[in-house]
Amino acid sequence: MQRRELILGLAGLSALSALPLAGCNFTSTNQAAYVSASKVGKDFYLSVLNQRHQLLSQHKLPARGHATACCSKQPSLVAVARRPGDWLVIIDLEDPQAPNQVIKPGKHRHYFGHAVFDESQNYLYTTENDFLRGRGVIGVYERLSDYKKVAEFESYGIGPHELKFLPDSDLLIVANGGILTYPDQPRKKLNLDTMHSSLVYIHAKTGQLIDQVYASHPQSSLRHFDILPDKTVAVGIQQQTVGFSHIASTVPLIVTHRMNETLQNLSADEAHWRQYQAYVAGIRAHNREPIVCATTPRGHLASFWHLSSRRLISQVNLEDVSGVVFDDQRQRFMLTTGYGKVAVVDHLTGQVERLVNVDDVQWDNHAYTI
Amino acid sequence: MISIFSVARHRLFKLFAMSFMVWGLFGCEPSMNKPPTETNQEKFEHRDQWIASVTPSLLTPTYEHWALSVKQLNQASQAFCEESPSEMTTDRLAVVQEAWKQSMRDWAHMQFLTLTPNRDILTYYAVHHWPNVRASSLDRQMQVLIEKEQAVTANDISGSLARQGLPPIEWLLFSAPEDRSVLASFKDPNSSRCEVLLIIASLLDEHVSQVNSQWQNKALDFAQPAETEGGFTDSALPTKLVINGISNVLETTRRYKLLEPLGSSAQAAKPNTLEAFRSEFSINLLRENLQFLDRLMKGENEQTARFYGLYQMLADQSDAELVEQLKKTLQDVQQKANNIARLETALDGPQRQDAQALLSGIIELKQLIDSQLFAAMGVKQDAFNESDGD
Repeated sequence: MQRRELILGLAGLSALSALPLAGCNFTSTNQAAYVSASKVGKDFYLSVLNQRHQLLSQHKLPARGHATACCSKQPSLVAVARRPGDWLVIIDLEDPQAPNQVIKPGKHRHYFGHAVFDESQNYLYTTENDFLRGRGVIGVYERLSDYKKVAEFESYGIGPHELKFLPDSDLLIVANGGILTYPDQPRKKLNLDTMHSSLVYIHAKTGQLIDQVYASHPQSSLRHFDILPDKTVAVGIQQQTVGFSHIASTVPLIVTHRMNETLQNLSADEAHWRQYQAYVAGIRAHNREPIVCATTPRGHLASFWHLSSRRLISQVNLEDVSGVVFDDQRQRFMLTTGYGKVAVVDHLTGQVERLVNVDDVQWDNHAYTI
Repeated sequence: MISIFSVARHRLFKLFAMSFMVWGLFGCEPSMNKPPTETNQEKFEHRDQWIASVTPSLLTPTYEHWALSVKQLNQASQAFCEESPSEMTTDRLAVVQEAWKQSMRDWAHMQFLTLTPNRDILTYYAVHHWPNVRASSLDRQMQVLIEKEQAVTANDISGSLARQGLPPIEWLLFSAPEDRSVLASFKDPNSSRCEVLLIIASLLDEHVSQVNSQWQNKALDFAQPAETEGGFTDSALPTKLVINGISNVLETTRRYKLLEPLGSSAQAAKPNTLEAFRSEFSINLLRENLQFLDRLMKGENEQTARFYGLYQMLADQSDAELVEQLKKTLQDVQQKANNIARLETALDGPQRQDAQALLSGIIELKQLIDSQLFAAMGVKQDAFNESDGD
């Protein structure tokens, strides 16, 4: 799609910029509080919990899901296929019995697992693979037109993964993981010797590249991130390794970025990074303070960092921990694990304050507050 | 590099010798009557001795055999394709086909080791190839390659499914258009079948050789995890990787080697999803999987040399009942696999029930390992996000 078409396709967006911030604040109309993709037995679901971490509903997915985007304007959830899936499932929370709408990315495209609504919540942005050309693209879908794909633009890199809007702006931040894949070999990484991951800031209405910063280590894959209240971006890295090296890797796996500046590592000794086995699964920011939590299921731990001192505050060991959200009401981070655990943790001490087991559910990579 | 290899080999030799000493210490007869008074620490000592023994005695030879058979496949391909078309015969083609089969037998053993740290290497070189490739995709891409008018290059191979080693070579050696034989296809002056074979076999040889070198460099860390600097910080990790490897192969066998090809009914059978349907070699590979597991359990390698096997280790830590269950279940599954002559024709014929019985046996064996062996070894099954995140 040419830039002219893109601008025409998104022309209506500018008039909507004064609408409330994106997010899903509809807990007043129902008790849904958290959502995550999950596995139950051999089937895959989108599972919804209430504030007390009790299972409210489970929505069957065509295959393994990854991230979830939520919309409060028309209380609904968008489950995104894990890469290289080719579906988005729209779940209407006001009418759970209604058949779920399934959206496809179009010919020669597949999703990379993440999606986000813009501030107006009328447009959904997704990371996608143009696998014929081996390039990443951002797909734009109009909610009010039954999620018709209305535009597409480059992600300015290979393997775009998580994407979010920089608050109070039209800038879309995208983590280009840098890894080339092809759907016939879905889990194969085809360019590890030449990969170069980047974090990009793209104007969401024009597709124009505003800023791009590359990972300092060639095999660092910038994959997941969150944005702090001061607009600092905290990024979790998955280091691509060969052979045994992931077990002894000491590459720093959390970096921060501010627009037009360089990436900055968080400080920890080598022994700390070695625990991660080169892998950060999720990262989430505190809603008021400069604190982030990162999870590593390979290392079975979650770590909490203060970004002013750039130092580790505390850590907690949880088997197969991956999902992390910041719970505004409790002012605590909530963690989910592949063993069905939901843990509320005091980030200052690393103490688990509440631990709930949701029977038979394996929580997948990412959790979200609704 | 040579000096590093020499040192590593010397250390491995010492370790190998040590593993036999360990075997000697524990004796050749299982001590089934040992009372269950051991502490966890003693249990883990048995586990550490087991990994120290099995690594040089079975795991390292598995890598070496695979590297050797892939090299021989490369050499056999070169010898065959150096012949003029008039000198290419069925017998000479059979030599290459047999070399491919031997590489696949050794791959069936390697399948247990793809969850070791070498998983990343295997992924990197894309030699961990099945069951990700769809038969129709491979057919299409291979056809394009052998019909290419310009000379086929290594880049053409690297950019296609042909880079995935053994299945594309099987396609070249065992499939041909309906109106001609494989041999005639190799002789066809308009076909690049030989050029493609030579490039794939050479690339595979190079990649597998690197996989083997990587393993040789690190085998000692694997065998003695707690004693090496910069190696494994968790001494149980190598054991965990091997036991997870067993569970993983059994899951692959259940799902991809049997359940999906069988389909929900005889009408829905899908023989072209079998691991080696073009050569009709699928049941042989499944049997090789079970044979590797048998050796790991009994403590025997290909030369029938004895080492400290899993049965003995479990017996020494007073898990004799589990040993008997494993022996009985594995033997039963092996018998069921031996009852099937050709899996490709057993999916929807009178032998379908034999294939279904084999599937049931595999499920039972996997359940036993998942429910009891992990606990007995003091390690956990790979978790959901840990094993395959994104």
